[in-house]
Amino acid sequence: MRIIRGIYCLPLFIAFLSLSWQCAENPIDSDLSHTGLNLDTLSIYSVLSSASSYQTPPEIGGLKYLYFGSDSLFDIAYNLFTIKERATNGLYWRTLLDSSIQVDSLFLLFSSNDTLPDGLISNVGFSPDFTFEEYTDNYNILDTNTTWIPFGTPMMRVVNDTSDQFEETELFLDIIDYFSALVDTADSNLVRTFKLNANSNLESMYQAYSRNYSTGNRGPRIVVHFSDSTVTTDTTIYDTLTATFETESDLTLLEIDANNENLEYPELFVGSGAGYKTVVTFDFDSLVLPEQTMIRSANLFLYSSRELTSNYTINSYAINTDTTIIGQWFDEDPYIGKASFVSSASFTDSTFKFSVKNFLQNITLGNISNLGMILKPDDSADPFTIVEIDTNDVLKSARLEILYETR
Amino acid sequence: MKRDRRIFSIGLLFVLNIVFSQSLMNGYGFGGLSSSQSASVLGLGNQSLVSSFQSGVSLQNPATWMDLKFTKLNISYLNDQSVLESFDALNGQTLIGRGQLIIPIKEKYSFGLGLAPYRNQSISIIGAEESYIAFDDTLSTQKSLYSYGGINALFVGFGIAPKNEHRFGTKIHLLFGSTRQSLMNNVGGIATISNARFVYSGVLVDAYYNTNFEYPVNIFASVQFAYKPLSYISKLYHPFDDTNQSGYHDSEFYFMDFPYQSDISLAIENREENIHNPFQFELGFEWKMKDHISLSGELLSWEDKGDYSNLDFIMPLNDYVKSRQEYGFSLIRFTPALLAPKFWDKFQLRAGVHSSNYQLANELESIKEMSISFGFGFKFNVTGNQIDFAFRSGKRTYRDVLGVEYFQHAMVELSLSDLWFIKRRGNK
Repeated sequence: MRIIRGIYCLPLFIAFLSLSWQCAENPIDSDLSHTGLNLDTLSIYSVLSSASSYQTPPEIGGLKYLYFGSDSLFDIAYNLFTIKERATNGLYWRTLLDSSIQVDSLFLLFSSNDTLPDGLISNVGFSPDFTFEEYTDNYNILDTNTTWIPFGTPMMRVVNDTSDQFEETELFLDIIDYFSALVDTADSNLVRTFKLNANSNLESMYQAYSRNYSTGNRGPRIVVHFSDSTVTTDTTIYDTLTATFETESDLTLLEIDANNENLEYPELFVGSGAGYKTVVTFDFDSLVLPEQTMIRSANLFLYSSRELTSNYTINSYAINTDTTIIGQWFDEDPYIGKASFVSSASFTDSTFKFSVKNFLQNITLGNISNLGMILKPDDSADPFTIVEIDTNDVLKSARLEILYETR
Repeated sequence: MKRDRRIFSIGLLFVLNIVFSQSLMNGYGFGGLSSSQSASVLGLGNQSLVSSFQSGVSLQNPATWMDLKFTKLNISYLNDQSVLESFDALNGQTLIGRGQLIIPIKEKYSFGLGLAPYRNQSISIIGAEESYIAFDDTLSTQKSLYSYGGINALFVGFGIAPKNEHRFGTKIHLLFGSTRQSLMNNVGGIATISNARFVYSGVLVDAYYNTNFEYPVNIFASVQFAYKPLSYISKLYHPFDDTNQSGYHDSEFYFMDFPYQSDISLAIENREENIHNPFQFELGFEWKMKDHISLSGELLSWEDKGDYSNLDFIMPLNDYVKSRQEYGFSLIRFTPALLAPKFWDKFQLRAGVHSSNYQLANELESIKEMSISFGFGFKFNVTGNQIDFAFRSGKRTYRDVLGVEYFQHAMVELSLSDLWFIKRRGNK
């Protein structure tokens, strides 16, 4: 009977074993070459099935510099910028009208890492109501109806660092006489837009920092020195303070001639200053990658027929709306809102290498149509460089390299 | 007596803890055969036709079930372990072996139903490190394959004895289950993962016959065929770069894995028919040498007529078992009586030797298996409740590269008995 009772304890034994037992799973080494996910490559030379360049008015508001002057190809007459309503220390323009505040000085400042010539800017104009869009407007925005109040010609000084080495050139203009125009409380829509008129005799290109350089504090700005008085029963305390009003937006207006003479393939250009963009298409659909292909890498190689600085960067955008363009010149980019960013490529070894992995994978998945890509210069690229994509040399023709796996 | 019980307990723990298998066989075809699901059968060395549970009864042979005195509810628990000498790999697992209910009716009919594993597909394989030159870059690659799951069988059995000397039985196995396969290719530190799921269905039918003569020797036979050969519905998921190395295709919320989950299409679904179509013939004999002591033997021939030619299922070891032959002999001592006066007489003792030969479809060299097994059962309670233990140890010899596998199975099975469908007299 005691034995039988012992047997009833068996479930406890089994529970103990179940809890104490740990399944072991050591992998086995064996050949798996019969399975899927095998790497394979596909190289397609002369991959472009069509390509063409087109031009639009240059939109170079996103650049890190404002440009002045002219060279053999470009002539820059104007720059625009708008000053913010609020200073970096939180002060508003209207606060400067308080009875306790005495404005001592008001200066418009620009900085440049260039050595600038005297008389670079012939005149600074001011408009309380002229507005512009930094990233989309171009020289067409200027009209003859706008009245620009002349503020004068800025002075120049060279700023050296502590070891007496050149640090930057500073342009400054005393605008204390125009204080009332800058703080006009009667104008509820007051904007503080300035137009910089470059000297028409300049034969080179010069640059000053724009608000897009670094954190923006080197761009055009207005610096106010003022004193704030606080009166107590028997004492008046004066605080000497400074406020800096930085730039809200700025834009170099680069005017080019509208050229309606069609560029013929294989002339492919990219350059922001000249307004060149290129549309390329390649016949990827017919490559017939197997179903459920996983693209490991896909790179589109384009060669430049000219030597460029190594940091010149071109961005590629996938066209997502079927758009047919006829002609070379467009007052407005016909692909605005119809293309999505794909990748950037910096110039290295005469080549631009664009990663198109995501683009091609989504084509294979049927999520997007292969309507081609647009090549545009990055905002960091020198606007006065024109890239010519090589289409003459067979060895340097556009090439697509795909590394993929199939299940 | 107290000392004996201690030895018994310690011995039990020892046996159950050293034992137990994720076998290399799981990598062939649609997985390895699950070990015998009854401890009494395992103790005899996988002899499923001849008497093993008690005199005249095998739990896996419905043509013998009518000799049970009581309705039986069985459940078994299995520990598997295998050691692959060539890879220095130790694999083990535990699982519920088999659960079944057997109802004898008037010593002439029987009915049973239950659930048991049919194929085990759990296996992990690592491929060799290789290099691949792509566009002048040399990439290091290594594949691995992980397979989980298997196929189970829900079975219904019937037995009939039109004459006491001739018994017939049949069993219908409804096969079901699923497998998940995860194939990885690690290229330069980032793995591409391709997942697939396979859902199985199929119907197998067994037919049994055995004699029940007064002679000391009786004959057992069975045949198995596929009424509806195994088929599967596969779901093949789009491969992805497991950029964040989580092992899963994470949503785009994490901006990591490529392509994004929302970008990929639904899994491709395929259906494959007739992927596994077994035909089996089994023959056995039992010789009652002395009172309660029998010698038995079985021969088995099995062949798979399935179409393996166009599968999206990955056979981990790139081959499958085309045919199998087994033979074995065993010796058993049954309990002499239901209520034995001596403690020793409550025990059944079993031992057996077993040999199998697996012929692969793509290899000339076959897999050879040899094993020995032993077990014992203990009866308790007036209705004949029984607990059985079994241990089987053996080795399989594969082709040269894979080497030798040593395996061990240990099983414990509990059988509870009661009277069902008996008209009881009411109290007067």
